[in-house]
Amino acid sequence: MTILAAPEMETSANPLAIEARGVRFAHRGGRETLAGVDLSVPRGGAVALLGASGAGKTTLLKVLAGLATPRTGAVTLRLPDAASPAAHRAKGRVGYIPQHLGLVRARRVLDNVLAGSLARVAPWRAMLGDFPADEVDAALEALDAVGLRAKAGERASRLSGGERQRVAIARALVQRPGVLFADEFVSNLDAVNASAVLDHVGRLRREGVAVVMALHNVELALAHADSLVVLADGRVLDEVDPATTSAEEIRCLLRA
Amino acid sequence: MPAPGVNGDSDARRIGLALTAATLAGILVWSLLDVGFSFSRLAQGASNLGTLAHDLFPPDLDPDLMATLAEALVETVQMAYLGTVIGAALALPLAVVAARTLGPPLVAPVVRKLLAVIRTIPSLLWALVFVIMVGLGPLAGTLGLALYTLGYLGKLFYEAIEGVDPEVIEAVRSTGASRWQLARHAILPEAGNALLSQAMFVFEYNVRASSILGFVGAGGIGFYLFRYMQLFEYRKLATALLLLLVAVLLIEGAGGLVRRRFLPEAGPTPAA
Repeated sequence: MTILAAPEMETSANPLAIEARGVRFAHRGGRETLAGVDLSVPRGGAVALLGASGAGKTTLLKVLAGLATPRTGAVTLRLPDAASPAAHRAKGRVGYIPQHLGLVRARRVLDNVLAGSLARVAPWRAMLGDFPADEVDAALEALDAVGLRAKAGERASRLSGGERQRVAIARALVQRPGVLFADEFVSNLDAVNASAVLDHVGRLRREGVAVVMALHNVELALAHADSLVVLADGRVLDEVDPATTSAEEIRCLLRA
Repeated sequence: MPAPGVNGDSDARRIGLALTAATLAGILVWSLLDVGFSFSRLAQGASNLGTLAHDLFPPDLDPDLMATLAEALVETVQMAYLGTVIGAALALPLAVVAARTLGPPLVAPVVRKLLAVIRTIPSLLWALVFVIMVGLGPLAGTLGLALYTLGYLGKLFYEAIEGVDPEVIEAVRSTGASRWQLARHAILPEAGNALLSQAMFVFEYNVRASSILGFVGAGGIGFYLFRYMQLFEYRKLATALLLLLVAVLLIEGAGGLVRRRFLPEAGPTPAA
C-alpha cells in the first residue's frame, strides 16, 4: 500500500478525478476518525457525504484536500493539466470550503474573493495588495455569478449567512479548481438559498470539476449529488444512487 | 485507552491539588525565612519611610530644573517609542515563522526558543550590553528596549497568530497562497487588532522600563533619578518622579482612549 503525504495527481484516460483507497486517519494519540475509506468521483461528478457528526466527514474532506495526512492509504487526484502534486496545490487547483467558510471577516468581500487568485499573482504584487486588473475583473465576474457584485465593497462580517456562503463560492470560482471539497457549507441556509448555492456548484461541475461535499439535508443531497456516501464511525456504511433511493430509505440508514 | 473511573479521576485530582498546595506553601515559608522577613523590621522601617517622605517634600519646582527633566523625559518616551517600533517590526516576521499554524515545523520551535532566550534578559541588561557596544546615551537604551520588545512581543504575536480561526488559514491556503501571502491576506487582517493592542501594551510597559535605563548610562530621565538618589537630593528626585508619573498617566490614558475608540474587541480572534 502506498503512503502519501499529499494527494497524488496525474492525468490519464482514467475518468476518475478523485480516488481514495483505504484511507485511515487518527489524530495524534486520539482514536481513529477514518478506519479505511474508499471513495471515487468521476470528472464533473458530485458525491454527497452524509452521516452523524463525528462520523468522519470533515476529516475525510481534509485528507482529500491534502490538509491532513492519512496514516495509511492513498488519495489520487487527476486533473486535466498534468503537473506534480505540489504544483497543483500551489496553483490553488484544490478548492476547499470549510464548514464556517474561512472568510477573512475584517476584509471586504472583493478582497476575500481576490484571495482565490493568489496563486496566479506575482508574489510581490500580492504582498502590496496590488492585484492585476484582469484578476479584479475575474473576481467581480464571480461575484456577479453569485449575485453579490453590489456588495463587493462591504466587509465580509457585515453580510448575512447566505451571502457569506456565496462569497466562499465566488472565491472558489476564482480559484479555477480542478476538484472542490466543501464541508457542510450550506447547513445554515434555508432551502431556497441552499439550492441557489448548490446550483453554483453545479456550474463548476459542468466545467468538469469533481466535487465532494458534506451535507446533512438528505433532500438537497438527493437533488444535487449523483452519489450519496453514508459514513459512520469512520467507515463507508453504504453508497447509494439517488435515482433509485428515497429520502426515507436514506434516513433509515442514517439512524442505523 | 480505557476511560478512567469518575472516582479514581477525582481522587487523583485531589491528591494532586493537595501536593501542589503543600509545595506552594513550603516555598512561601522558605522564601520568608531566607529573605529575613520580620514585622519588627517593617515597623522600624516605617519611621525611615517618614524621614524619606519628609526629605522628598516639597518637590523642587525650579524652572531650569523642570526644563532639564522635561527634556530627559521626552528622551525617555522617544526611546520607548522607537524601541517598541523597532522591536515590533522585527517581532512580526519572526512570529509568522514561530507560529505553529504557519511556520515551518522544524524552524518554528527554534525561533520560539530564541525568543524565549531574548526574553529572559531584562531590558536593563540589554541596555548595558549596548552601552558597551555603542557607548553611553539614548541609542544604547533604545536598542536594549528593542531587543527586549522583540522577545516579548514575538511571543504575544505568535500566540495571536495561533489564535486565528484555523478554517480561515485552511481556506486561504487551499488557494495556493504562500506563507507570506497567507500572513498578509488572512492572518494580519484577522489578528490585526490583537497585534496592535499588544504593541500598545508593550509601549506603555517600555515607557516605565526606559525610565530606569539611565541607571546604566543608557539615556533618558533615569540618569537624573540615579544621580539625585546618590547625591541625596531628594527634592529634585521628587520633581523627577512627579513628572514621570504625569507622563505615564497621560500615555496610559491616551492608550485607553485609542483602545476604546478603535479596538473595541481586541484580543485573540475567537473561532467561528
